[in-house]
Amino acid sequence: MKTFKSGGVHPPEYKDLSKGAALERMPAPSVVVLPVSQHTGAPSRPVVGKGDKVSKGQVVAEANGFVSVPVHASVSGVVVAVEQRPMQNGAVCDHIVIQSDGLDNWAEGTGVKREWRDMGLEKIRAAVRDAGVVGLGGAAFPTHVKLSPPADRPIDTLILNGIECEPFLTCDYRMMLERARGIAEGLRIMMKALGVNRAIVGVESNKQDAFEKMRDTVWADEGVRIELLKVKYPQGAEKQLIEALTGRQVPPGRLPLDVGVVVQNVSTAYAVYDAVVEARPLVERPVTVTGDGVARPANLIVPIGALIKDVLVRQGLDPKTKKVVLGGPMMGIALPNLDFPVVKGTSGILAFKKMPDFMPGPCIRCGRCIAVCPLRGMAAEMIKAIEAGEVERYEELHVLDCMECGTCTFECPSRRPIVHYIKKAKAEYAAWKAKKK
Amino acid sequence: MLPPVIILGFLGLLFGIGLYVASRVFRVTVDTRIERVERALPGSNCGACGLAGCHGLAKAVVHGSADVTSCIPGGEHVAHLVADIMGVEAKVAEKRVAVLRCQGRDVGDRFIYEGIATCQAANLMHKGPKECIFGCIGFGDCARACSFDALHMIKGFPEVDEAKCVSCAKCVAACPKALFELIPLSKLVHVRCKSLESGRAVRKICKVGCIACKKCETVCEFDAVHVKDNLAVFDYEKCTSCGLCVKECPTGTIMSYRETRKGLGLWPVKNAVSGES
Repeated sequence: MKTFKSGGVHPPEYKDLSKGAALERMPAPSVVVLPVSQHTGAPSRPVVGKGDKVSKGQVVAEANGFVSVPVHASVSGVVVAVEQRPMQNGAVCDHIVIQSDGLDNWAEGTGVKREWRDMGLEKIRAAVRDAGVVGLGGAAFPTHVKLSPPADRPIDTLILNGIECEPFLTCDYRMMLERARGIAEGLRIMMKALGVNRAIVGVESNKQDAFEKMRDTVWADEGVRIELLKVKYPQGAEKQLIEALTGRQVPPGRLPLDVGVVVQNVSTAYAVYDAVVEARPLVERPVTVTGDGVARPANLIVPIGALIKDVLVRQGLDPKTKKVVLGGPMMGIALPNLDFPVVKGTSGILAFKKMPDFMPGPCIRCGRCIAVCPLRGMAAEMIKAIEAGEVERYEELHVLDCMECGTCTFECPSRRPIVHYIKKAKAEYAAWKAKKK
Repeated sequence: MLPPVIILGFLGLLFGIGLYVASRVFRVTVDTRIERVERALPGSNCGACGLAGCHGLAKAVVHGSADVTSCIPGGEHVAHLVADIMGVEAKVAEKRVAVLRCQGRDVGDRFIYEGIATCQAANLMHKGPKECIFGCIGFGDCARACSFDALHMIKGFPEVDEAKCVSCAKCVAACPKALFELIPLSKLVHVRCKSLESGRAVRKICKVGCIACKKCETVCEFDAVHVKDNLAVFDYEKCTSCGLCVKECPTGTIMSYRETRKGLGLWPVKNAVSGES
C-alpha cells in the first residue's frame, strides 16, 4: 500500500464513537447566523437587510470578486440583523442573522434537475460558483477557482480526497458509504470541468468498506482509479496526498496546479453534484459531532449557520464538558464560547469532558519533531529562532511553509506548543514584512 | 658581520618605504566627532533611535542623516551635549513617558488559556483570554521588552516607573493591544481605557473602563475631550491638565498623574540643562 514518504504519525483514531452513526439531517434551527467570510478569499457582500423575508437557498450575500463565493440562506424566514461579529478565528466580519419560520421553503429555481452532460465547461463552473461551493475539507477554498486552472498550467489528474486522516472525524466516511453515487457523479462533473480523463480516489485502509463502496459505485472506465492507502497522519493534506498517489512533490510555496494536479474532498464532490445536477446551493454540510462530551455522537447534515450550541444540545451536551474543538483534534481550534455558527469549513465539533494536563517543558533536543514532519521542516530550530525573536531567519527556516498539521506537537515528549509558536511567528513575520516595506 | 647588517638594514628600509606608501595610499580619514558623539551617547545600544546601536547613531549624526536630538533615552541632556560637539543648536522636544491605556487588572477570563505565556501568542487565540478584548492580557511582553527597568509586572499587571522611563517606545511596539502611548510629561490627565465596546458591555466586565457617558466632554472647558466610538479621547494640544474631568468621571477611568509625578519629582517639569539634571 502506498503512502507519503517523510514523516507522519499514528494518533489514536477514536473513530469508533461515531463511525456507525448514519448520516442524519438536523432540522432547521430557530436561528441561523451566516458570516459573509466563510471561504478563503474576499468576503461576500450582503444583499439583504433587516426585516427582509428570505427563502431557503436564496442568495443573502453575493460574491465579491473571482476568489469569492455567494452565501445562501440555509433556512426560510426573516433577516433579523446584519451585524459585525467576531468569527472563530477572531476576525470580525458581517454576520447575517435569520430567524427561521420553520417551513423550510426552498427558493424558486432550486431543485430543478439538470443534465450535466449537456452543460458546457463555463456553465458548470458558473453553476458551482453560484451555488457557493467551497472545499469542504476545512480550508474552504472556492471550488470554481480550482476548477478554472490557468491555461499555461495544464492539469492531467484530479484527486478525490477521501482520506479523513484527522482522528474522531467520520463524516466523509459516512458520505462515501451513503452518498457514493452523488460523489461519483460529482467526480465526473469536475473531470469534465477540468478537461482531464485521469482521476484517483484516495481512501485510507481503515475505511475498507468505504473503499469497496466507492470502487463499486464509481464506474471505473477511462482511468478512474480508487486507491487504498496506508493509514498515516497527515495523509489528507493536499501535498502529502499528491505525493502518496502520484509520487509528485509540490515545492514549498507552490500549488498542486504546478504539478498538474487538482485535489478535491469527497464531500465537495457531492456538493458539486448537488449544485450542478440538483441545482441546490450549498446550504448544509456533513459535520461529525463527537467526543465524550456528547451523549449521542453522530454524523449530521447541519444547515450552515446553525449555532454550535444548538447542534451540541441536540446531541445531548454533557454539562461537565470542559473543551469544545472545531474541526479535528490535530488542527482544530478550541472555542471560547458556543455562540459561533457552523460554517462551510466546519467538519467536526468535538466536545471533551477532560482538559488535557498541559505543562510544556523545555526542549530536550531529541529531534522527534524533525523526524515526523511531513514537510521535512526543522521544528526544533524554528522554535529556537522564534523564542529568540529572530524574524529575519523565519524565511530560511521555512517557518512560513508550515501547514500547522500538528504532527510535531503531537510527537513532542516535552509537550511544547510548537504549532502555537509557529502561528505566532507567522503573525510576527507578516507585521515585520509590512513594516519593512 | 657586515652582510647581515646590510641585508637587515636594506630590508628595514624597504619595509619602511612600504609602510609609508601604504599609509598614504590606504589612508582612511576618520571624523573624530563620531567618537566624541558616541561617548556622549548613553551607550546602552537600545535601538530606540532605529539605528544599529549608539555607534550607528553617532555615525548618522555626524554624516547629517540623523538629528542631534535622535537619542530618545538620552533626552535633553544628551541632545545638548551632541549639539555642542556638532556645533549646532538642539531643538529639544519635551520628555515623554509611556502611559498605559488600561487599568482593568480585575477583568475576568473568557476561557482557559494554555498556550505560550506571551501576550503576542495569546492575542492570536480569540484575541486573548480576557473578557475585554481591548485590554491588557497580562503576560508581560512589555516588561520583557523594556531595557531600562522602567516597566514591571505587579500582580499580573504592568506598571510604568516614570522616573526610569526614557520613552524608547519598546513597550509601544511589544504590546499586541497597542495600550502604550508616549505622552509629554507635562500632560497629567489621561484616559486609562481603550475599549470601543458600548457602555453597557464595558460595565459588565470592567469596573474601571470608559462607559462613554460623555460627562468629561460636558465638563471640559477647553474642548479637549471627545467621546468617539464609545471611548473618551483627549486632544493633548488643548488639554491643560486642569483635572475637572477627573473629578467628574464616574468610573475613575480618567486619572490624574499629578500627585504621583510630584512624588517622583517629575512635576513640575524641570529643564534638563538650565536646572538640575
